[in-house]
Amino acid sequence: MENKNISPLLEVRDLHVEVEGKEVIKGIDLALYGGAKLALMGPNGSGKSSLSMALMGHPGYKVKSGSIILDGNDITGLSPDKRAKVGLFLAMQNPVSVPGVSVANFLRAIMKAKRGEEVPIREFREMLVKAMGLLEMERSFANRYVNDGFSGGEKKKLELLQMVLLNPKVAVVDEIDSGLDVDALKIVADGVNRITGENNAFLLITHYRRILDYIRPDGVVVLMEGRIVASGGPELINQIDRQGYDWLSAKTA
Amino acid sequence: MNVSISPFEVAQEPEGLKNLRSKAWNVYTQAQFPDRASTLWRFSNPEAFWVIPENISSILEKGKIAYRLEAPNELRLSDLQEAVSNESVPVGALVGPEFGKFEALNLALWKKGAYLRVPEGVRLDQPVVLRKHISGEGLILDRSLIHVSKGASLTIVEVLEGELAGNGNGYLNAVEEVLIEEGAALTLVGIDLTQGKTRAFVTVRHSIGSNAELKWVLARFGEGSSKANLGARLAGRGAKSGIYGAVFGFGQGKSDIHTFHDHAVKRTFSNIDLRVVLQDQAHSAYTGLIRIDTDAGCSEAFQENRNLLLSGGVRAESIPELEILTDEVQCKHGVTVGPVEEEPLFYLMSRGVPREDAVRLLVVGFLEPVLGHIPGDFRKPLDGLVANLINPASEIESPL
Repeated sequence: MENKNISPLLEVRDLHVEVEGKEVIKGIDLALYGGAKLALMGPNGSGKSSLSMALMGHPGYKVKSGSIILDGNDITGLSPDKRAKVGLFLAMQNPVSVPGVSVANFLRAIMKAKRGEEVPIREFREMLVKAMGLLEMERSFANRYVNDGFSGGEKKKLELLQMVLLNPKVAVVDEIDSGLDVDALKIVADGVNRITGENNAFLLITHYRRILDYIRPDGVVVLMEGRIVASGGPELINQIDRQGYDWLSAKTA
Repeated sequence: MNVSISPFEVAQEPEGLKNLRSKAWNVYTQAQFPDRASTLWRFSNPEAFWVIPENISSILEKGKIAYRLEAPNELRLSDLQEAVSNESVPVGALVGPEFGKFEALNLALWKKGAYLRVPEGVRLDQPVVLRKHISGEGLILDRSLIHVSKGASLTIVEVLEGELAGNGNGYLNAVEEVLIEEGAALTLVGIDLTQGKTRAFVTVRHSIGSNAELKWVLARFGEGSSKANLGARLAGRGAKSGIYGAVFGFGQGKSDIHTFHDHAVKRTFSNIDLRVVLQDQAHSAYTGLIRIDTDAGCSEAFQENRNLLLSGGVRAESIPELEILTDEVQCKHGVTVGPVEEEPLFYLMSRGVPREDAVRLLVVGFLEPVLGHIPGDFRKPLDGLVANLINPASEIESPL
């Protein structure tokens, strides 16, 4: 998982995060190198989603101390759009609906932001058709309003579609498996696997092992009560699957 | 009561119209000013629309309005005054002399007007365009009458353009009467592109016959001020009316809109979706009345007003009113007022979209359910217009 000779794509140093005055992340260190797929596991309420929101710069999640370094850039104080520009992506667990904004217009705005100029309509269409094909999505999907009335599976696919189009350096994928049936899960996992390469890295947030059967991580960290309580190789997944998280809770005391 | 004579009596007009004008002039000059405690006038001062009778002729000479129709040959735009002299045209049937003090001013003195009669059974796929261009200064009286005959079906796009100069001495006083006969379907799109600080007093009344349908889309983007009284009477069984309004107010702009859906008979359906975006020091007031008559059971009426506030200095008021005189009806109304929502903004920004572009996208999206009803050729420039008008820097302070 680590290669000490090169610097990590994502480095989190002693990160402390507060939500409404309450500390939810209590000093986390993480390093993700190119090609890594790291699973971040933990029970409900352990701080997994809070960490992802803080990484992306959600205004409700205040970094009290520590830093977030993306590909050598300190992004701790940057606005979410600037973090995205440096190469961070967050596939959200429950993305908000944006009524009135079509998927096509939304994706075009995203591509314009990435490039710094309008993407010609023809080129955009080709790009979109290709990416949608990869995720086995209906063409009519592009005309619907973003996440509005979407099923759980459709929301996840749209998150993934954006990830494919943006090709981020680091993608934080939050509970991509929730609300998916097995078929959709396979498509989503295939999508993640296809864009994984030496030049990007994934942080996969989940509290079930199911998705990890399809996207095989090369390392696991376990979060409880805002702290990392265990880290190791993929064998840790099986142990959690058999024993749950209780055996780790002693470590947080 | 004093009977004064209108200064613009035209000798060749039919007696009926002369009488109407005379009655209307009486109402304008003699009737009390509207009571500001009534909902209709709570947010606008009636004195702003009063012109001293002795001054009217000089003020009227300075304002100009021109009408132009872009339509296939089977439709012809007539001058309303000529039409009234040549055939039976129901001027004043929906907005008559007793309607209100300022509507009476219009009826007493209008000279140029637009008359469009859509013959029975005419069905057009392409929209026809009625352009109204205002210029000059002073007072402009605009009067239109649209008569959609039985079974006809079409889209009319009315574009109001131009600018009224002068320092608040005058204004545009517009009255439109629309008759939609049995089984007809009218989509009426009103786009107000007037420039500058043009002031307007607008009254529109529709009468919708049995199984006829009105879809009325209104878009108004400006820093002028307007008071609009927009209504439809669902006069025949199975009549349907949908009003979709998009307002973008900026600068010192003021929009005071009243809607009235009058369900006169059984099995009638109405819907209102009014979306207002306010920036700088703009002000919007909306009062919406739904009335369901004693004989109008089994009817449905919905009304929603959403307000999106882009600056701290704006003001939005909204008063929905229901007057339901019978049972077995379904009515719903709702109001929302608030800034750009933080979660969608975060969502878009987290994908790399800069804050200003994200706000633009969200505002256009907010208006989409209304603007989406406008035919494509007219729609696209409006999106661009909205995007250009938005000044994200003026937005309410937000942590993002």
